[in-house]
Amino acid sequence: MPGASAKKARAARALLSVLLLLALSVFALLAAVAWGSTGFKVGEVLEYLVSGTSNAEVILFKIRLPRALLSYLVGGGLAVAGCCLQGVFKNPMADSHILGVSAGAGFGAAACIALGIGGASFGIAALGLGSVAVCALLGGILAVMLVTQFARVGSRTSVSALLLSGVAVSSLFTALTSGIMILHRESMEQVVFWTLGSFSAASFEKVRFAALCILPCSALCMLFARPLNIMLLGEEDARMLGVDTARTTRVLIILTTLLAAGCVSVSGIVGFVGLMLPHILRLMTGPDHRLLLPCSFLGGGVFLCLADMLARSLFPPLEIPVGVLSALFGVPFFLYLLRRQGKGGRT
Amino acid sequence: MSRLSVENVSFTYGEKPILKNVSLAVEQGELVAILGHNGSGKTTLLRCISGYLTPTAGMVRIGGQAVSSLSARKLAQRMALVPQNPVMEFDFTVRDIVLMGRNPHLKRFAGETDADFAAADAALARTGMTALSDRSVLTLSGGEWQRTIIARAICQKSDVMLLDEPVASLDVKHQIEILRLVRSLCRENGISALCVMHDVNLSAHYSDQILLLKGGETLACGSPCNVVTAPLLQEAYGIEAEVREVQGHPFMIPRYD
Repeated sequence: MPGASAKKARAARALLSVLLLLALSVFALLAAVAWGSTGFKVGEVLEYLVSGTSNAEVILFKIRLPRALLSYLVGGGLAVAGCCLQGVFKNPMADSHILGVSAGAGFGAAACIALGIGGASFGIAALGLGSVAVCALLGGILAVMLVTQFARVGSRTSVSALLLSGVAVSSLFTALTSGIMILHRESMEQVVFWTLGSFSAASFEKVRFAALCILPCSALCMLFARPLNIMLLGEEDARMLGVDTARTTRVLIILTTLLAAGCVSVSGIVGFVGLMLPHILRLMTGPDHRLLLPCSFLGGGVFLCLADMLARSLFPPLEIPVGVLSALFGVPFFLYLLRRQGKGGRT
Repeated sequence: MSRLSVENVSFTYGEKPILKNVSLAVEQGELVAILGHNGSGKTTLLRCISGYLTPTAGMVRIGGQAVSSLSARKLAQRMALVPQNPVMEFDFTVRDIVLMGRNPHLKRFAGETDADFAAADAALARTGMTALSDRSVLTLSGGEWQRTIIARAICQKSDVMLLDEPVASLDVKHQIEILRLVRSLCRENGISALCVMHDVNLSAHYSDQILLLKGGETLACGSPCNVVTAPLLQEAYGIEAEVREVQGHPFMIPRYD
């Protein structure tokens, strides 16, 4: 196939993937608003979204709509962050938590819940976040700062040093969190539930904060798609193809940290999405980050939105932690794809 | 002014000197081989030239400009690298990899144009990879993968090409194929190529100039006739060898027993 037609074929494949995922996104968001312990018809949902008129159930939209949007944004943000970090580290096991964000955020949340650090005054009203979320956000960012600081040797930061430092700092914060829980047993349950992740406290304020954090950071990550492709060849090679690898790595670590910490602060720790979704989408789109990153955002959003919908509606009024559910459904699907890939599909 | 000049370069790793005062000038269209025993500093020299390592002393210039003063992008426009063991674990197509050679010429956030795709097509044709353009790189043989990486370097359209043991892991047919290609790039396109090599005879046959290193120092530098001699090979590798003329170039036969 000559180059010109290869270019067209690439564009066509990209368009098809994005349109498919956009359609799924609309479906997932509508379904998440329509489906729950109180039933609605899709027509009613559309009518409300268009006209905004209040019937008796508007309050449910005020609960379900922000919840659907928040889970969508967090899913998208975690998938983009995971995808970027898998590229930066050339490591398929990397995800948004590998640099200590979740451990740090968990510690921040535990400190806030158990010790009452900060209290109400700490909640930044303008952001609409509670003090737990703010502490989690700061804890996550602090952890990554420590990780990058420890990994630095002279002016250089090696990728393997970052991974090891990430594991070490994560262990430290996890230990501190455990310590806090043992010393303050009365708040143990609350801390545990926070670390399992949930969207039950979704509000439009949280959606606004999540959108302000996740959308720009995701978009900025996508601008680094071509350097990310090239960095998959390794640092030395990428440099000789004109990529400033040190700077690109630094910028992407900052962006993914903001993304992951922003996500964790509004939802608690949701596993699986950042690790597995990029892999699942890579099987569909191929490895080119210019397509993979936008598709990861859309696919991650669809996945977490639907997972949260099931989490709250499978056994009402009991709510299954969304992280548990996403792993229960996502892992078998991922393993199925992996097996299929091994048997004569793309290798 | 030489296309590429290495001026009294030394490199020390910790306390240990790896390179001592190495100089080399590479002209337009020249193919230069760097030879030496394992650990003689060949790859370190290449990395000092590519700017991946900063020399402890001395300087490397490309077209008169210090390599250390150029940004990664500016340097990549003038210098391409064919690394020793390129690795790609994701299933990009051959064309995707070759197109990555256009990166230093693209605006930061712009996509590839038709001209970039045409440059990739030309590079693929030059390396005989046209038929494999849309194959996943994960399915290539060693020789095909090496040609893909060279096609990427051609697509980069830089005037200096560094190759780190480009034929070390290939069978003899592919060794000849790759070195003929590199020589034709030098002769026909005026590229200056600098090849780290292990095979003395291939180096003697294909290169215009050989730099022979021993323990990080220049043992000899000059035309193959002057460098591939029994006394110098004895000195560099500690082997006894007989040197004859084969196909117009010196050819060494080591004493095996």
